Amino acid sequence: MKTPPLLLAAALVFWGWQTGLLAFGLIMALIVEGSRLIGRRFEFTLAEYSRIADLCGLIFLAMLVYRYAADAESAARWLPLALFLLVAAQAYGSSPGIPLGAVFWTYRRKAKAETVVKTFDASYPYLALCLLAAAAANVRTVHFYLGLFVIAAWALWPFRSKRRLVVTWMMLLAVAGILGYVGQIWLHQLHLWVEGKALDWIESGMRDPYQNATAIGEIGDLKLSDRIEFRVEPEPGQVQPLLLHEASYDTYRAGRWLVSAPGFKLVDMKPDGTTWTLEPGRAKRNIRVLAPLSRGQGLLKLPAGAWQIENLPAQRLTRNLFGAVKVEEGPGLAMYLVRYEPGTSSDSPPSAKDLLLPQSERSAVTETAGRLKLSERPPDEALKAVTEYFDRNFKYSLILSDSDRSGGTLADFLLRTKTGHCEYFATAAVLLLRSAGIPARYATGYLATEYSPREGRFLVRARHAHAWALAYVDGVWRDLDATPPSWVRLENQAAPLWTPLADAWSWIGFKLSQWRWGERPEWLKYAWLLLIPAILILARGLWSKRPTARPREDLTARSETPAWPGLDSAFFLIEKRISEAGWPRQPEETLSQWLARLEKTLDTKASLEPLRDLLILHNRLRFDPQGLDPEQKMILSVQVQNWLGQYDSSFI
Amino acid sequence: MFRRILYRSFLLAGRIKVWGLRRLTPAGLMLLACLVLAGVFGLNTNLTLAYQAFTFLLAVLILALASNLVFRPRLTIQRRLPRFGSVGRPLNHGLLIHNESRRSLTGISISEEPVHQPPSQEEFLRNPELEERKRNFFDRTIGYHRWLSLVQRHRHQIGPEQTLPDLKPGNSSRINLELTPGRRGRLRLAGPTLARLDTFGLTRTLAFVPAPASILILPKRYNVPPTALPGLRKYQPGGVALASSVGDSEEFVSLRDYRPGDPLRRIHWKSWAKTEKPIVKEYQDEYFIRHALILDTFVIQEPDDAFEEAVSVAASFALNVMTQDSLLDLMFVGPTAYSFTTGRGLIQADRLLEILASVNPCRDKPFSALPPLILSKAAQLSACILVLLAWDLERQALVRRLKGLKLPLKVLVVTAASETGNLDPGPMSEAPADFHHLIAGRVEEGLARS
Repeated sequence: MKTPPLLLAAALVFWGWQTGLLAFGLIMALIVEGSRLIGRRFEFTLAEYSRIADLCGLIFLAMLVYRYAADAESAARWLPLALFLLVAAQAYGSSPGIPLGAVFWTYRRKAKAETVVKTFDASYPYLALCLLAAAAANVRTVHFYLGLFVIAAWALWPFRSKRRLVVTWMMLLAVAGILGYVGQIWLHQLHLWVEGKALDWIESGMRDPYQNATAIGEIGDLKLSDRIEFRVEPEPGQVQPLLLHEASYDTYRAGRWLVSAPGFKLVDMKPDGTTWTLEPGRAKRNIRVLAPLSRGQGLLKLPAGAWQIENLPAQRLTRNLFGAVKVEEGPGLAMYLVRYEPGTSSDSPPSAKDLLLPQSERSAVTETAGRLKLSERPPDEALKAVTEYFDRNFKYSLILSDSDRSGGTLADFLLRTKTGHCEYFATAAVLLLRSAGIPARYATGYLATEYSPREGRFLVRARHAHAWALAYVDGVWRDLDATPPSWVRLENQAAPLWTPLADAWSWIGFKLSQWRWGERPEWLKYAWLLLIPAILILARGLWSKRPTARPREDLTARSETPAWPGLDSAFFLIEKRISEAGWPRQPEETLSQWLARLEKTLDTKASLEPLRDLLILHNRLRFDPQGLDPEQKMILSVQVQNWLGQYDSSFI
Repeated sequence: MFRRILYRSFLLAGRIKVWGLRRLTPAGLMLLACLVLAGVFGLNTNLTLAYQAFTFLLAVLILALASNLVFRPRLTIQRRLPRFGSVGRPLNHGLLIHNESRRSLTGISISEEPVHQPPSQEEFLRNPELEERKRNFFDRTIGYHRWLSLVQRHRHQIGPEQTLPDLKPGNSSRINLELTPGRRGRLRLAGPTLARLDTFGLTRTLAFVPAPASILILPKRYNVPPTALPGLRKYQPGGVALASSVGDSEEFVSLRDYRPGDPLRRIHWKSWAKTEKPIVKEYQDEYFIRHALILDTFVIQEPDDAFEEAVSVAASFALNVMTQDSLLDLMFVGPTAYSFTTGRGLIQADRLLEILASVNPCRDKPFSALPPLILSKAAQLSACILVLLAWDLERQALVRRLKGLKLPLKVLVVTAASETGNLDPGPMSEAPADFHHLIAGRVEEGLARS
């Protein structure tokens, strides 16, 4: 190991202490530092290093999967455990480091062809990894910073400039420690500040239960995403479209719906921790909603008359007076069962605010209401009249035109253009009903209309987001969807061509998410045991190698003078004999050139004849990667001896 | 356009890398990597404490830089440079460093890198990497490996950095630096760079001391077997200037009567005065052995590795052909057609190496520019060594013509490493021993077989 003695051990113990894996940390420290006391070294080949690196990768992958499946804490804290084998291999291997080819797959093929193995020292990167893993444990005490400081100082010590006094080094390090400490406090505060500022922006996907800005008055083409937002599992046989409510609002002001009474109240939780009762128990129709929750929070999608939510593990559930139910610290994918009673509502009873008409829209609304004679009709008929009026005379469109606009935009919609999207219809319906003396609210949510027989669920896309009116008739809030039913068809036509592909992708993501957030089988917790056979096989493979008992210095010295094959070839004896006879080989001459020269110049050609064949054997012994088999070696040696016996140095 | 942008990016990235690597020690690099890692992992300060490591390491790095801001040594430097270096051979050059300041210089290391000429845009566009077509589509499009191979080809290997002994004010010290040239031609040295470590040993502050110099790097040479070319001694007309020192020196034979057409300068005025009729000096014609070493500079395919090898082969032969009693002409085509003669009393063979050190491939002329140059001298030549870059019909035709002139030839065809197939000797089939196919990268092996 190239780290100073005991430094890596200290880092491992520190890591174990921070992550609560102290026993592991101690054992690993002992193993790593023990290599300094134990002289035995293994001569690992590149393939063996590669196998160890692969196993480390597998262990880490298994940890990642386990972390994902078991929703355990960050996998980064286990990194030293996963990569320990690699460092141990360096500590106990005869090579000064880990071959690059073992770690980098892209380099592996190239490394096989290289004669000199390029290695890197893994001890310092491993040290950094230990500290990073200790940081991932997130034990927010001053001990982490102190430990980090001590270990970093220890690691920096060998590199210090000898030009400067040790005292200077220490003082500078102390200043760095103080600066770093103050800096980390500032950095954390800065992060909190930025996070606070950016929260609204990040969570823009979540509907605001306090206000809802409509697109009324905006111009252009409304583009709604085709993305699947959530899935709804209805009761068997129910394939009727279903309105799923998220929030309602009672005050309309300049294109914006607001709630007049903000504030959420806690919803009662049953002892099982996953059942939440909104109203006293009633009839038992139910649906199952499978909706992702961004960072574990969001508004629940509920049908009208929802009175109980089951199977929703969350820290807290709150609701406001307008039927919005907010979940906090819930799972990444909420899969809750909603029990509901159609025809009822959990919204608070109406107040005077539910009858207010904004001044800006009053004239247009009154004029339309007068034309429909709404105030003269009983409430039930008034509701019907409003729906029919919009259905017959109005057109659904996502294109918001700005041609020749004069008065308020809603007035424009009611009196002139008669074209708009659901927000127009819902707002107009609410205001028309209010003008007829019927309390009404503006509701937002989704219309689950696209039933997927394959999944047996409704797929609710972003473009299925909808707005409608709630009318208080006969002591109950009723849904009144004034948007012409053609809107669903129009929306579907706007779906892009690649929707099936995107859906398939979404399905895969959903299945993964469902698996992750669903009930985990018990056996998964023990999945890591599967690694034991792999480790045993590797250990057996390594142990069966004969370790070299030599100290490392000898090994490196030996590796610097590689033994070329065939240097012991018997043919050199012949060369020696002929050289002694006065015909030495010139430095630039190959053996065959030398023989050719001898053949030209010497008269005793007979003596040289057998040498050609011997030379071929000799060259094969020297340069053929396959070499000679023992029998051929024997032949070479015997024939050389024969020749030497036949011709002495005076043969010329 | 895309390639040009890539070229610029590689150039910039290369400069940043060199800048960083020269200023950071390995420990500094490691710390920087940890800093980046801690920064990335510590982005969410609620989830991990890695941000604490980030701020601490940042503080260490900033203090390391701050503790070593100013470094302006006052030195004078004298060089001891050899006249030549050779590609692939370590070259030692000495520096005599004199401390002119009033303070001692301690803990300084010194190194010198030759003036680095990065691959030009033209080179990058033109020169595919060897075996580039074997790379995948992405690598071929981006051309990073091509860039690397070009940089590799331009690079000279620098020996280890030397530590300067502590220098008291007014003292001098001698330092030897090592450099292994990677490319022939003129190597320019601008001056050594002195580096001083900061307190933590993470960063280095550099100071450049100008001491411009240059050195000629000769081509790489191979061991070639002694070359014995057959061939007759040839008459050398116009060899008068040479005859004073070359060839058979019994040039003056006798005096004879003037015959119309004899040049005036051959008139022997003293004899004319004595005999009262014009007498001229008679000379014996000059005969001696004259070899030609012909280098093919017409690059067939990029990269020009084969050309570099061909230059090395030519250099190896230039040194090897014994010129004590013969002449050697080096012929090649550059911006114009060149012919240099070495031999007795003329420039020495080692000057040919200097010439070969500066030969550039000829890309603007066809191969047909070379044969006239050779044929104009063919009558005076005894034998030819041709170092060719291909064995196409044009080159075979040249060989055929030279053979037709009864000139003994030795032909060496140097091809790129990708062309390993056997070549048909063609016109050289009668003397296969004098026809050699050398493959770039394995030239030494090929020459040893010859």
